[in-house]
Amino acid sequence: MPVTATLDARPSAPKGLLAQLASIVGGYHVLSDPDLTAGHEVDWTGRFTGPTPVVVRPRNPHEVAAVLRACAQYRVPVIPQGGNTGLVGGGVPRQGEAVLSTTRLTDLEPVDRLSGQVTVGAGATLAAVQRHVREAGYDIAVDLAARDSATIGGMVATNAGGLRVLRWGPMRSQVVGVEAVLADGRVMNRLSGLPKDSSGYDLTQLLVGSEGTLAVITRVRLRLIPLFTDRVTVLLALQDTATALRVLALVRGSVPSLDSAEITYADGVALVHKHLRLPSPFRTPTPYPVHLLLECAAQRDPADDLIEALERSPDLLDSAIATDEPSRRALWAHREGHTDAVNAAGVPLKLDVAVPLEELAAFEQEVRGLTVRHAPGARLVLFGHLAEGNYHVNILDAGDRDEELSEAVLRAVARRGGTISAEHGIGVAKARWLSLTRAAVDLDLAAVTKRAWDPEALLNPGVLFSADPA
Amino acid sequence: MSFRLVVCVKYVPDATADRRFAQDTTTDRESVDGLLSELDEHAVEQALRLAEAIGDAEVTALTLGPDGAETALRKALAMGVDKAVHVQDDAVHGTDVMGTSAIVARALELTGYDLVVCGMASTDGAMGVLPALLAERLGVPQLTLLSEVGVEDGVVRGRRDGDAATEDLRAPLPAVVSVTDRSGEARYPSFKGVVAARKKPVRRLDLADLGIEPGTVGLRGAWTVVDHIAARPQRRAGAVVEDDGEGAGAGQLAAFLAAGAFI
Repeated sequence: MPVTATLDARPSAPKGLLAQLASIVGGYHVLSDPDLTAGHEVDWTGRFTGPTPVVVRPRNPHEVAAVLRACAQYRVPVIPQGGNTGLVGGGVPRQGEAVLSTTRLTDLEPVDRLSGQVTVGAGATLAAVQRHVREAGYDIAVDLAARDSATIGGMVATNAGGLRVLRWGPMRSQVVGVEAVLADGRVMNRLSGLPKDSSGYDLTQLLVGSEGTLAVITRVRLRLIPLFTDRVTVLLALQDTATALRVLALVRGSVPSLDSAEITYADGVALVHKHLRLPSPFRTPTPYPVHLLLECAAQRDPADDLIEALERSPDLLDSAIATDEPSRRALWAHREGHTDAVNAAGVPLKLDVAVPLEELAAFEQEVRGLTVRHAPGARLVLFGHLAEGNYHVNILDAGDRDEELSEAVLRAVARRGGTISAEHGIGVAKARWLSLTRAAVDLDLAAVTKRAWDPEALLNPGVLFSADPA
Repeated sequence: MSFRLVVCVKYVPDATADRRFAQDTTTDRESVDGLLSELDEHAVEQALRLAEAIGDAEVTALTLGPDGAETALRKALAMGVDKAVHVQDDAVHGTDVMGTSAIVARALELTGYDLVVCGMASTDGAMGVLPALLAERLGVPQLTLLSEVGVEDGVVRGRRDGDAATEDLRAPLPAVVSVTDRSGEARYPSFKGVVAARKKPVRRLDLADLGIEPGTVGLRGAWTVVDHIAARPQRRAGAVVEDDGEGAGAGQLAAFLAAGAFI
């Protein structure tokens, strides 16, 4: 076996491998001291952790290829790791694998104004890419709360969704090209970004959502959107989910500048107010049952369309509008603070599911009922992207009922024709449930595909497949 | 007659944007977005709460500013203020707070007031002296930096939190007060508020309407002169501690932290 456990149960890498890695990236970028690898060994939720014999940090695709060849030679499996903001345990070691950190693949090429595209290193954070393209008058369509840490490569690998899928689609819709290194060190370069290319299978799109199991993405070419200068953010107080859907349907058809529609509920909002010490945006002592946050972006005053669409709506219990930056950020904090607030209150069980919109209101009630039934002492916090029917289900204090509860919720999702993972990916956390919503033929084809790209099963073992597909 | 509350608001450049200065050492207002000064939002909020408590009351927002200042007035109107006054004149360009206070005081006399409510300071100039100057020019009492304010029986009462003591103050009306950011959360405008704001009157006044000589304000009339403006110097690189590979860097780092009394 290539990886041996030491007396204190830490895996150690073959000496030859460490020396070879050092000759590729420099000794400074090969970490084997447990104190230095510790940060790479646990995920953001705190739920997934495992020791690694080595963390290696290549600087460019050439080094990535050499690193993978070296690991293949010693038959050491590799976990590609970007910003480590993943939520399904897909980016941290589990059984003593080596960690390949992409965080030094940060080169940002100049924005290509002819095509409205840009090529960036897979290790560049979303925030860095946003700053880079905004300086050139463009924007990148996907935005999410983890923007300061999440890397582009990771976002591609998980087909990240985020806050603007309503208008622009998920990461898949932004990727026009990739460069990736296979497990055997071969480099696949599809970075030309041609909008029309009908020349065989779309290997680029296959990598989107492949969660590091097919290749290590080193560079990504993204399509850009115009930078909108005027934004309006509104927070609507509503009675229930069905009402929120009614309001969404109303604005979706009549407000072309609508970017985001985010739903939160009273219990999550109360937690945010307490944890972030944010005052309520409405002058009521307790939160309304449902808050719907809508944001529109345009080159000129998007508020008019939105106001015209909604001013006569009988469904608004209350409303708050913000057009200047500080007020808009303050309104968004009520939604974006949910993840931190939940994390401050404990280690939550997290599910990220989506159901067809016509099922959403009933599904919400069902999840509440299931929580009470399976884990009576637990606290459920729901929030999410309304237009995609995508809930982030957070359950605190589920204790030893978390498996049972997860399965119950996911089965409910499957019954309603939904997905067990809308944007977080499968990782290791959900691999065992994939058959709930993916048919046998899908799973067979996936296994075959994995074997074709990575016959030695060296890349991210344990992710996507609950049993070794080889 | 309705109780007349007038809240002074300022349209300021966005503090997070890159602000620049023009050749005549005035702030370049064209190149950045502006907004209603956040501290003035508290003044608007308190004026609205006072109006709600008094019942038969009317709130006017008053500003002295360029074209864009209308944005600040629209926000105040959307929050619930009843009407607005916009004083604007080319000759006002480059006015300092002495000139501003003279202009605003005249505008207050023209519109009429029972209580003037100001924020504790502007977020750009940050001098915090306008309320006092207004009171002096108007010849009325001032209660500044209040965290609580109330009106009853011809008297305005307030609470001011100091370092060593809390003061409860009162003064006969008419008066000028300023309120701090501790006075309570400013409300967001609602849809209804934004729609209603579009129909609310904005009265425009220039220096001639106020009977003010242009030469007494503006750059020429200013009591202060800006001699020189320089950008903040670039941050210099800090000290870099290189480790020799044996851990000596840790000792140097500890010494640096100790020398700077960080630990």
